[in-house]
Amino acid sequence: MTASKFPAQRLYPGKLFLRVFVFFVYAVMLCPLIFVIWLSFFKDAILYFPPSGYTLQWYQNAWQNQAFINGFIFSMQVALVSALVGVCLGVMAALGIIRYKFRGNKPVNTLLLSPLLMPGIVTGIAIYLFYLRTENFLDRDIVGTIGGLVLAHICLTIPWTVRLVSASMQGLDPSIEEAARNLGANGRVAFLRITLPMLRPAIVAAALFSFIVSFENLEVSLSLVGPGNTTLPIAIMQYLEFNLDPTIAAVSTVQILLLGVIMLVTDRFVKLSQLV
Amino acid sequence: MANVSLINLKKQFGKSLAVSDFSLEIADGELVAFLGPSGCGKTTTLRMIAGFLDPTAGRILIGNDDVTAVPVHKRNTGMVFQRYALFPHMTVAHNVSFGLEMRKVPAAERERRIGLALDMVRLTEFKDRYPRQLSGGQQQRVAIARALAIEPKVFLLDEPLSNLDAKLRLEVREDIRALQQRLGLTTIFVTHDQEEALAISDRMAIMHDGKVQQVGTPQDLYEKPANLFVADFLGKMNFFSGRQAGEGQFQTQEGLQLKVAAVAGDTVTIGVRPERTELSSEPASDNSVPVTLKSCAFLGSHIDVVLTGAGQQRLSCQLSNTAAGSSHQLLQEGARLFMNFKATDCVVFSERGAR
Repeated sequence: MTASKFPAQRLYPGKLFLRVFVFFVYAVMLCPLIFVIWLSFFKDAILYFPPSGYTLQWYQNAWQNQAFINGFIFSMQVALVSALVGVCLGVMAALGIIRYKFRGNKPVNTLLLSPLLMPGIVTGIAIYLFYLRTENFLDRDIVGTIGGLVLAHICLTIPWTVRLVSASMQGLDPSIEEAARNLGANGRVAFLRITLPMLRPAIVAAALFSFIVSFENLEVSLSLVGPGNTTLPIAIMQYLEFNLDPTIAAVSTVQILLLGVIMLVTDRFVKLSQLV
Repeated sequence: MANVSLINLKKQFGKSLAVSDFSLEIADGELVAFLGPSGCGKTTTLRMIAGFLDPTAGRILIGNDDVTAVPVHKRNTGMVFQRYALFPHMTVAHNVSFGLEMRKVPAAERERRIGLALDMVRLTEFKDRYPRQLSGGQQQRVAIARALAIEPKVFLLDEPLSNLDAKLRLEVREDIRALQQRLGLTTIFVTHDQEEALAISDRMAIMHDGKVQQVGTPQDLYEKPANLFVADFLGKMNFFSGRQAGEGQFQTQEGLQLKVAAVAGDTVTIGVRPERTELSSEPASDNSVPVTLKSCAFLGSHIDVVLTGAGQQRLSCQLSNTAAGSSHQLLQEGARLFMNFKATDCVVFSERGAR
């Protein structure tokens, strides 16, 4: 579509208002990010405005802080495993909910989405209390173990997969899978070779969101991490208790850039904007 | 290819009967159209033949093998769907290849058959395209190639033309008929479009409310409809209610005396097709019914005239647009005319019209 085809549109008051409003929304959303990135280069250890100069010292500082490096690696591992397991379980759950009209179909769907609706800290405490009971019952540690943390994060990632994949599944023309079966594919082959590839964009998006949800989670992790197993968000929080220098801004900037790159790379393969 | 037998086929969904007691023999190489309004059970029947639905009762035989309990993927039917149902993530060639891979056809043989199938639908140069890069007509032709590449015993088409625009519809329809004739395919074609069914089929089965109303050649069904539903559904018909009044005589409830060749003791309704009637200012032919002209629509090759008969009865007459269009001077709103038709053009029914 070329712009020249259409005469310049008159700017009605309503349209003008919409544009101003949209600009405002973007500004509110992006301001914190831009400020964090900017702050990370400030020279002064105590935030001072305007800065007396710019430096890369805080990046070096962050790099040399073992707690951040360990936290980063640990968060990566937890997020990868949680996303992987969560996506597999979520796809199966979505499949069950959409394909099989069993009794209690709707409540199960709501239950699986519930971590999205609950404040993180409530979910965190609930899981913590549940783990304590289970520990007593099984007579073994769960709180503070990696397994316990990953399990909790899986609960957080499942809603994303269920939502994205079931929406995508609902949009599929059922006759496509029927065509595959008509051509000689049994149910399993038809699903693996036809339906699953058609769900690929939704699954990739679900994996991405699951990873991000797990990676940046603070509230749930807070009550579940053990000594030596600190996630990056918790390491950041602990650092903040005693320091206020822009090291945190540098760590955040790295995190923002990392997630941004993952998003852009994913978007090249599947159009996220069409899914979410 | 093979013959198909449907024996007392029945399908019930909960309390509603979708198909009741459907029996039909389809010969090897025959094209049978299932025609009916939506919800008449035609698609349900087709899906039972393909194996997507289990019949509540009855049996399905393909080439004398009872396939009633055979799962879809082992039935060896080739189906074409209304919305194409191509695999969006595969190229045209891969789409066609899928059924052959499932049958473990060796690669070289597969290539040859993909080539043949695409050649049949004139899409060879599109083999590396994805479905989204093709027009609707091309997509449906890929679906046809895909269904035929596996050399199915029966070719099943579920409203294959409904999603195409008028011009393509005709084109793909002719393609289907030509292929069916050339390959001698036993074909079942489901449609709600009577023109499609009339044009393409060897025989057609008209369905209504889960029941088969009549099975026969297009000419048979049109000329000798078995009941009022068939007469009314297939083309248009003018009906007169009444009773027999002597040998070859029929008296309508409005008191008109009509000559009807086939009238019998149980005849309570007679019908005549609009194109078998003529208009004149004086009575002519065997039967002349006085009418008042209500409106007419010029449709190019013919003119549809709406008339009011005795007792506000609505009648219609189709005049062809011939060179000698002199009678068209009569076509003025409110004109008092006579609708004329022959005794032999009347069809008789033993059931009363709903009018």
